[in-house]
Amino acid sequence: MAYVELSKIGKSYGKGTGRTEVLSDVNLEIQEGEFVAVVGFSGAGKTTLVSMIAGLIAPDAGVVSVAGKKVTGPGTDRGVVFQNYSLLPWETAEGNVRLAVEQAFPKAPAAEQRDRVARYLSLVGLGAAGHKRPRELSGGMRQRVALARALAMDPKVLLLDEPLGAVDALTRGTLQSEIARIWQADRKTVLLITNDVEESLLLADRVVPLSAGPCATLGPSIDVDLPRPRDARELGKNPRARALRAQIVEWLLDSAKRRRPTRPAPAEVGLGAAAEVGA
Amino acid sequence: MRKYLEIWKLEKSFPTPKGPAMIVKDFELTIAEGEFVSLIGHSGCGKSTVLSIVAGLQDATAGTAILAGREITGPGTDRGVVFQAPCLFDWMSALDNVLLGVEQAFPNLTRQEQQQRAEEALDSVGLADALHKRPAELSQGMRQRVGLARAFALSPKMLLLDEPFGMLDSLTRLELQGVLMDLWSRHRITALMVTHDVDEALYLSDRVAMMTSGPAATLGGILEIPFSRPRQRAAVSVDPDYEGLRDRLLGFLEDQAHPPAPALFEASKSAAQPEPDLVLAELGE
Repeated sequence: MAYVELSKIGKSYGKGTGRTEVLSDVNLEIQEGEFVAVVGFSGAGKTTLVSMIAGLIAPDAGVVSVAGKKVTGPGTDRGVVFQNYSLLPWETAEGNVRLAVEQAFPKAPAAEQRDRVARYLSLVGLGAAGHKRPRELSGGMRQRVALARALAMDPKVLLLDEPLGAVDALTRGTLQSEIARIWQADRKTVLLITNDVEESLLLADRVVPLSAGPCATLGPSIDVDLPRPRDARELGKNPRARALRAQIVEWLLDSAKRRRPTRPAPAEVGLGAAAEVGA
Repeated sequence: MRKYLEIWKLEKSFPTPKGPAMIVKDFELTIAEGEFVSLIGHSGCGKSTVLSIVAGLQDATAGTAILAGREITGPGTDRGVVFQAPCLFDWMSALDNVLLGVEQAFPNLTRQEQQQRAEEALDSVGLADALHKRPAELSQGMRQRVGLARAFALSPKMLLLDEPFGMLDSLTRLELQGVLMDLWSRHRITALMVTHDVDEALYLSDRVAMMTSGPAATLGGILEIPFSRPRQRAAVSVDPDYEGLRDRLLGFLEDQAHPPAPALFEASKSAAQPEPDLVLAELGE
């Protein structure tokens, strides 16, 4: 049985005529120690997908299970890193990580907890910035704190929801290599959510495209059979990487075309009702 | 080759207390009717300056640009411009934004014909169901679709695109490149696009013009893109020529990024320009 399993997941938001089916018949299996990336457009429902695995929202249909147990709420067995960092602004970097460690290891002696906090802060290169508050840190550094916080809980599964969407291109490159390095070192089960095909090829064992919404669903799983460690520049030149990239991009763009036909049937044009049903 | 747009010895400088800051000098480029040309170069090199002179939004200090036999002296509806930010009026619907340009370009059409033209343009970018939405109700990508529709609705002689997809996430950027490709294939409007995305330039263009870094930026070379049309992205990216062309463009940009220090010194000395001009050139774009 797969370590993380999503089976026939459906989720809608809104009520009555305003109801929109966001995800429909989503099935995904992630093996233990596997790094899987889900790539899709903004607004397709990627964050909804991650939030259901994290136990922050419940699916309308289907079951999410982790390590054979049905997910019914959040827990320290799943570490989440969000695009917007979600740090407590009044706590220092160290305080933010410590809070998570206390939740995950409540019985550990204080000295052990302290060691753990320090170890993970230095793992993400923030050994010297532990006393700073989020507003004193750059976007990239805040995301490092969030990453340290997730890793320090020693979660069974790491959920990365567009973790690098808000940082500049240069920082993104650095953090991508760090995520790859950390994953190589302790091989956690990882689900990365991103809209960057390049990033998915750089980091994942397997890429699964999510179709454009509404009623988004997962496409065919694509194995990234590229040797590690991978380098962004090398990937740009690697013919195999380019073929994979083309395959993923093509599938995603086709899904968007199906959603938004450039030549709709004439009957649909100009109808007041049709104009109200916005994308 | 029939010359449709001819940029001749174009020069743009700004006065400063220490003498003129030369942004673009002796820039020459000729584009045939129905051709799609991209202009690549580093940020701040003066690409957008060239484009905005062709758009008639800035005057050249010297030299000129001639479009379809007429010298460009100011902005006009014979050129459709798409900026990085879609620049829509946020209190007007998508339809009214497009209609505004159509009214200017086709004052002799009836109201209904104008309306129909604007609707068709929005339809062709996949926004048939969002005609009456305001920019705030549209995603970033949809807003830029309105920008494209507004430009194409003018049936302009020429399309001028200034990093049209620079603000979009990588996937939406690819999606809109496809929308632009479809539109352009249908209308074959002569186009000049400023970009620094090498893959974007390769996918869309017939030729890529490479611009040197400033100060006094000029044309550094032209690359012919041999891929047949109509183009499929998947076929283009695995074409055996693709990697070589990509390397040529990246190599050019890399060379421009690290000019040998003595050469830079010589250049600024011979032009009797003090160092601050380098900074001004950066601001030029």
